[in-house]
Amino acid sequence: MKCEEFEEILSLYIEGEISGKIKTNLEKHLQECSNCKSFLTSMLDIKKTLSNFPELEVSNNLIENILRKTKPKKGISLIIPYLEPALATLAALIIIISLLIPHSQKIYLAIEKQIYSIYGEIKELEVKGESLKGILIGYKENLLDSFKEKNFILFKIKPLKEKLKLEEKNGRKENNSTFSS
Amino acid sequence: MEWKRVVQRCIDGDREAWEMLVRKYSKRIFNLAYQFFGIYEEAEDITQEIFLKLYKCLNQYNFEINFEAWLIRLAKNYCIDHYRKIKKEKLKRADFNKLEYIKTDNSNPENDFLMKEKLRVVFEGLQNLNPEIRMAILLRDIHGMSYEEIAQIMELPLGTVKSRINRGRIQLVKNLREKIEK
Ligand SMILES: [Zn+2]
Repeated sequence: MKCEEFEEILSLYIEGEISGKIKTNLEKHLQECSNCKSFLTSMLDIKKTLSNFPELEVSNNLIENILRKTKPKKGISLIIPYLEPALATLAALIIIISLLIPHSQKIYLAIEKQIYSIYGEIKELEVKGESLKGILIGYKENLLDSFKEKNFILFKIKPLKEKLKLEEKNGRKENNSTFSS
Repeated sequence: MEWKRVVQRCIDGDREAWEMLVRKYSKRIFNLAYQFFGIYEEAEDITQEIFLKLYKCLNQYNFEINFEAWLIRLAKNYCIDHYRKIKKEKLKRADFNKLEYIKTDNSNPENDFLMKEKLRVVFEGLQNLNPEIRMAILLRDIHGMSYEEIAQIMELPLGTVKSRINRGRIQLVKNLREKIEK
């Protein structure tokens, strides 16, 4: 066997997958041939280097990006994609009707208008829902804070009284100024 | 930890389970992509794309096979396809510097230097291999997978996997020798 043929089986040899007469021949050759011996040493060295390959840490940024980009749309807006197939079917029906009935343009427009208004109402509900949620969260936090301070009535009323006083003063000032000028 | 159960929860829309899955597997996939492309930023982009793809096709997962093997197959396909799509000349040279800062256990600075040099040459040698061969070597020698596992992931007969790894190792040795001679 030539050196190149031995080189071809070195990878299997280091995996322990060579046996019998081929293995005996290879080991005999390795003792005699410094070139193949050094080829084997290098191959073992590379394998060892790869097995100790350093592992890099993943940046938090990357994880956050993945999570952000796979975030489902939240809350009430889920209703709309849910309704979309139904609206699409309705639209398809309208097209069929408009093809079947002559002078159906007016009917078509009327139904289309209806669809848009339904869609609009849903959108509006969605917005209201979001703002209501915001208000409720605001109340909850205020309430919790004031309980924590154990004087929740004062906490809510005192600033309000001061605010009213201030507005009253300002009002007077404004009135005065209008009178004076 | 039974990951198949976590996967099922993800499919059912459990946000917490999905976050757990991303945190658990992103490091493995990111490192595989970095070892394959040799470029840090590219590896980050690819990892993100792989997880977006996983998110979309998670419901196609066949519960009879190992989840990790399934995910790595998805990652491997994505890496090789992406590598073929981009023009090779557009790829920057492998940036070894990210690995260079990693501390080695060696207390001897001379040994430390030699180890890093060796690592750099092997890392650059990897980038010169054909993508299919490179992936097989990565899975075998860095990730320590068996030939059978690699054959399953690469969807290839066992014999083909063995001969690819064989070819890759010979090329790596030749590359190392050329660098030393220079
Ligand atoms: Zn020889």
